[in-house]
Amino acid sequence: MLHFKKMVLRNFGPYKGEQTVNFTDEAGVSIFWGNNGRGKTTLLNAFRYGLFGVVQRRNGLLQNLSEMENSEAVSEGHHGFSVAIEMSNEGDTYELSRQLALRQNVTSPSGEEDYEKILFLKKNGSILSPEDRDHELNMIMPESVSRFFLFDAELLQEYEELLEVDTADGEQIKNAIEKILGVPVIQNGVIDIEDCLSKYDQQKARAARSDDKTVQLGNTMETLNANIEEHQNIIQEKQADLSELVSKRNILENKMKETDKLREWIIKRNEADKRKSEAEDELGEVMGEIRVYLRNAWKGMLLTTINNTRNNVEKEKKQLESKKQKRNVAEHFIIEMKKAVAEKKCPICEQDVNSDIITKLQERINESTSEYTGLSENERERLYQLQECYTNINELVANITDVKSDIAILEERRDRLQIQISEWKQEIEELKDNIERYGSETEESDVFRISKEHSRVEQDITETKKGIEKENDALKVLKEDKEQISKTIDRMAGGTDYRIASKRYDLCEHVFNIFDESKTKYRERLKKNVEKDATELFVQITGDKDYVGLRINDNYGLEIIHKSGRIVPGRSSGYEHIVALALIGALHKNAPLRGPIIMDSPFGRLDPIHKANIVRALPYMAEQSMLLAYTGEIDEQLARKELGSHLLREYKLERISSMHTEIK
Amino acid sequence: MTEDITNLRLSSHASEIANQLKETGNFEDALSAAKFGMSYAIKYYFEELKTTDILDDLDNTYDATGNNYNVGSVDSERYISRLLEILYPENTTPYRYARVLMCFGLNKLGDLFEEGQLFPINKVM
Repeated sequence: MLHFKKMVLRNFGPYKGEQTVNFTDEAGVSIFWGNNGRGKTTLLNAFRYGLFGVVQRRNGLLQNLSEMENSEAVSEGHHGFSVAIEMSNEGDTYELSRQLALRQNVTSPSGEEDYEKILFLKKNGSILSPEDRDHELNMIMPESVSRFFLFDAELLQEYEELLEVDTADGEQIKNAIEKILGVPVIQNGVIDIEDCLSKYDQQKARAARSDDKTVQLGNTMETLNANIEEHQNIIQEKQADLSELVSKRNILENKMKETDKLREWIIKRNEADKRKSEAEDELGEVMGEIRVYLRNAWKGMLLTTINNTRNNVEKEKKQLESKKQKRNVAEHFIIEMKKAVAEKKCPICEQDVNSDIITKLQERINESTSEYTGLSENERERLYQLQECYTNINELVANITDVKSDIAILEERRDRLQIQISEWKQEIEELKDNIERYGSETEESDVFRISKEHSRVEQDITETKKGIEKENDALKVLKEDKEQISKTIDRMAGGTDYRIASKRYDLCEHVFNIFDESKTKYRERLKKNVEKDATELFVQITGDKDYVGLRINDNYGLEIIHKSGRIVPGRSSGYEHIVALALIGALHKNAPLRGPIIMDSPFGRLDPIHKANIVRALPYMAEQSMLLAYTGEIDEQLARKELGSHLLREYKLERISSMHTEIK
Repeated sequence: MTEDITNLRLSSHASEIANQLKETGNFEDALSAAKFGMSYAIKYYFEELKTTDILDDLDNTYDATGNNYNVGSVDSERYISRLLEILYPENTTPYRYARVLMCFGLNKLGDLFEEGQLFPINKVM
């Protein structure tokens, strides 16, 4: 069983300088705590890089490994990085060292070509040759099964594919599952024995031909054998074609997935472009309206000042007018009184007025004249000016309105539109980035081309499958004919050679049948065991009494069984993770190849109860488990409590700077 | 008696502001911005600019090297001239004073613009 003992990182991602992680020899769980951006995924990738020389990113394998250099170290002049892993497996010790280093004489690299990859593997202290090294690595940890040892939440989600029939991803996962379970060993045995069987068959035919009694049948048999071989070859070719077509379909499906996203982005970008243009047009209109309003707004702004001036003018004008009016009224009275004094007769009753009254009237005339003096000539002029001014003011303000509120409304619209445009611009930029990053120059036509090609490949797959079926039918008929002839030869032939050849063939056929049957039985037994162990883990993790177990299908997909016996349809993403973890745990229990499990933030969509249940189940999933979690993903105290003595050690990924993390 | 001007020429600084305001897209042209400036000066600084003496002083302060407009195109309906006759009854050179008020108002708007306080413009109307 593979067990990691120590890992040494040098300038790998955020792990600046040389940093060593010592794992104990004991079985149990180690936890690495680290917040986002601290390097949990990089740590998982460090194992991946050490073992397989690759770094996994969300959108596939990292093409330029030099991107994993620590940028602070690079700025200090230290290029390259290395990962060294010490491990043990079945009593042997291994020291694996993989590094990316600058080529000789290169001090400032300009591209990947300036780096070289260096790999050493020591087994029990001796350095292995490159061939032995690759073989050994493939034996202790084949890359094709790495998904069961190094995984994150995204990878767990992929197990859903196993429930679907005939999907490319599902087929790949199924092959990986069979590989870890050791099915190919027995499968290869079947193929080898089938090969032998064919040879003995030919020997039998040759022996029959050399016997006088069966020479004719021997010839027929040989023709049949040739025909059978031809059909078998055709089937083989078609199967090779089929496998090629399936991988082509996988590539196309992946491309389609990418282009689906790309199409979505292009549509969204076009829509955002359209919305932005509409908003820009509307903004143009609004700005036009603002300009029209502001062209004459200055007049409206004057209204307050003009009105104040008018009020002042009006006030002064009224005072003068009032003064003038009073004088006019008084003037009439004075004239009447002056007439009475002059005629000594009352102008109203025509009675004579005596001298006493005349004296009093004269006094009143004098008083009134001085009291209501009327406008002076200056005042008269002023009043005239004021009246003229008043008229002018009224003319100025006629039909003038204050457009402040209209402009306020327009400005609000303008601001709103500007915000909208800025938001659209931002969205367009983000979408453009996405399109550039993932789609480069891919156009809509390419998207359609891929989908068309996919349909064509699908059709070819169907045709090829039909062809294989047809060939198998023909093969079946030929084999039946052969069997008939073989029986006849058996009855007629008496030669020693034929008997010996026949015995050999029969023996080989028995062995073949044993292997063939074993293959089926082995696979069925494995599936049953996986189903049983996965069920145990699943029940332990969910703790839901309504769910009594898991049922495995031919693809190793697991369906949840309700206590009523029904299959639970449409399970949640959280449950998908639990099922995937149960499957991985069960595979580890049943696989001849065993090793540590390293999980990167696998709890994404799980509630605290299920998180706790998974933590509790960890020690039973693998002998050595490592959990990479961010603070808060699971409760630290709870994790300690649930793991108890199974918790071997906790590490903290501590931030020194944005590009420097220390493992403490 | 001082003769009134027939070409209204803004100060260089006021012209720059008027051009900037035009660039914001809110004014059709620099002249609209200048008229806006004049009204702004009258509305908010009339007390400071109440006498022709003050305006005369300012007239001497502002250079006349900026945008140049014919008074006929500035005030084809004689609105400004009538306005200034009302606000400054004793004045005989309304366009000279209009120039002063435009420069004064534009300078103030320029300060607001510089501080990012000019927009939304309805707030200063």
